[in-house]
Amino acid sequence: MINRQKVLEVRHLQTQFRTEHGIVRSVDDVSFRLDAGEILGIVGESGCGKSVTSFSIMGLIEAPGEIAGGEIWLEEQELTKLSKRQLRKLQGKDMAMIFQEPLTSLNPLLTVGLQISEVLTRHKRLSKREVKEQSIAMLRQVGIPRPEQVYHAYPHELSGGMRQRVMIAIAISCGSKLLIADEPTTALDVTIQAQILKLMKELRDNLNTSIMLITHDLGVVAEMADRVIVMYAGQVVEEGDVYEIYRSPKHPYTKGLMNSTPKIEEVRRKLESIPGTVPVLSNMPSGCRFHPRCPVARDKCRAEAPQMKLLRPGVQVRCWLHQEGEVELNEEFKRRAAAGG
Amino acid sequence: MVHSHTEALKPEMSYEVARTIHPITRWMRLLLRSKTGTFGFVILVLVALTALLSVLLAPYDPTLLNARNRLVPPFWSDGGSMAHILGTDHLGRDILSRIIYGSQITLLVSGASVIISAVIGITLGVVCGYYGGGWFDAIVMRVVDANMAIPNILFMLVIVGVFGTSVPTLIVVLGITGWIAYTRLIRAEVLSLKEREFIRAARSIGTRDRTIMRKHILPNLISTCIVVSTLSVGGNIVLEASLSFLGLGIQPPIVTWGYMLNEGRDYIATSWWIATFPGVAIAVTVLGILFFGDWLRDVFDPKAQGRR
Repeated sequence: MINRQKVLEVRHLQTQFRTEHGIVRSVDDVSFRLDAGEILGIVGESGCGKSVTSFSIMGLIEAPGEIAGGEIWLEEQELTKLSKRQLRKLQGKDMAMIFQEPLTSLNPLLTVGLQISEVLTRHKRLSKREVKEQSIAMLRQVGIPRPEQVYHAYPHELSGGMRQRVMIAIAISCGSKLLIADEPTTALDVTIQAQILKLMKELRDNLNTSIMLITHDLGVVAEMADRVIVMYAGQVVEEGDVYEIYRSPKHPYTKGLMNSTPKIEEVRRKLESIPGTVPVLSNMPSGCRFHPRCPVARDKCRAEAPQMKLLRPGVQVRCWLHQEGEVELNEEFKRRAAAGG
Repeated sequence: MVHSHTEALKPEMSYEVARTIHPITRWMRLLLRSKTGTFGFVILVLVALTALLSVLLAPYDPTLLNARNRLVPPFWSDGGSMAHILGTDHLGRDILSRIIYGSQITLLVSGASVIISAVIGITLGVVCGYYGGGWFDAIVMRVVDANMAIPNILFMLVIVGVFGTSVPTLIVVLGITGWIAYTRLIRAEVLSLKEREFIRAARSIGTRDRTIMRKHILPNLISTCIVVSTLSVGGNIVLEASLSFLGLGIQPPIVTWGYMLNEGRDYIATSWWIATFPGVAIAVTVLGILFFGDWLRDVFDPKAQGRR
């Protein structure tokens, strides 16, 4: 990548919710950066804090939730310090988001045209005619056939893929440099999924949009992302180049995720799964949060929480295994198996 | 520019059809497709015309006394005549004329009071629901709870007792007791509506709270509002009649259907027509409004368009 301009940087973000059972910290010390024209994949199981991270960035966290600490830098602005009013000026213009369910993320009672116009009139000073022209141009840009007619259509008259295209059109219509896609293809079938992913890649290539792609589909990440962040129980456990992560995962959790995904080139007898479940946020295990499910957990893992360790520029992992330099995970697994058996 | 993937994404339907015809023609077509909707609409138009053209339509002055023509039965009964189609009451006043004039006040009071309660109730309901759990919500909901503990009719009796009975008082009384129904329903609906993804999507593009309430929440409440409004118009006609029946409604010489019922009560055993015809007028009007409201609710739901 030639252009290494930073678009988004999240530093030690903490987001918590006040509940009846006390404070629940859904996002705990999450840091990452996203450069211009980069696609960053965020992977993890349900409830690991992926969506809460994106809502925190977008300023969509509402009481009883709050951002308890950390900084979010969008280009030159620190978002956590901004008022609601100032944030609203950025939402939709400098950062935009598309959601999992294209069916429910459009207002069923307003035409597609009205909903695109909304963001344009909110952030740009345009005449009514210009708004309409631009809206139709945006629909055309995201590959919607006969945009003049779709402009007058209601969401229920469109297919799921078309609706997601409309959402993308709304998200990019004010020239946002950052697009947060929260499981954008989960609700779509596979052929449409491929089209939407292709569209997002084209946006990146043509408009240099930075995309934060949240998903639990490792296939989608492999296809799309330049860099990957793996989250577990509200924390980043591994960060790295997409090839690096797929070729040699550093964290046992990442490895577990990989092993529980079927691979087409490999004939496997049985699909592995990670034993146990994601811990409840209000009752976090001591030490490393993954240790109850970890096949290579040691006493130290139970007692003390590991910190992010930079192995090499761009490759970080939160695991005691790699604390004194990188360890080949497969070797470690074998050694463990030998010692145990 | 991004390439389009037209092959895979050809929408089957066309959008032109509904947009080339004149809106009034379209509405009339939609109306004629529903039997009950047409019925309700016709009733409403008839009642409204009757109210507007009372002076032309009524054969007699509704307050004209005629001692020689007391308790004349309707024309098809023995002793009835075409001079008084629906007969006369105990003071010899023409019942048909009184029903025709009574439609004015009945429509005015029920319509105006529903508008008052709708404006108060919907506004409070939307704000309470959107900021659900806040201090404003808490206060309004306590007022609602308190109001539920007092029967409406008692509350009205007190106010009417204090301020006297006049048309404006009655409208205001019915108006300010009616908003509760709206607020409770609308608030509940908004509470669930604001968790929908499109509200979050609207917020994610920087839409202001009040714009969200106006553009995204309010339109989604139309069917609820129509249902509550039509029910309340019907309910208010009956309430006004009840107040008049209790003698605390609008006072003579102004004619209302409820007051006519009240007067006819004493003669129900001997001269059934005095109370029956205003009663029928109330029943038919309320039914018409309910049918029309039902149809309106269907029309405002774009998802139901194919079904009609």
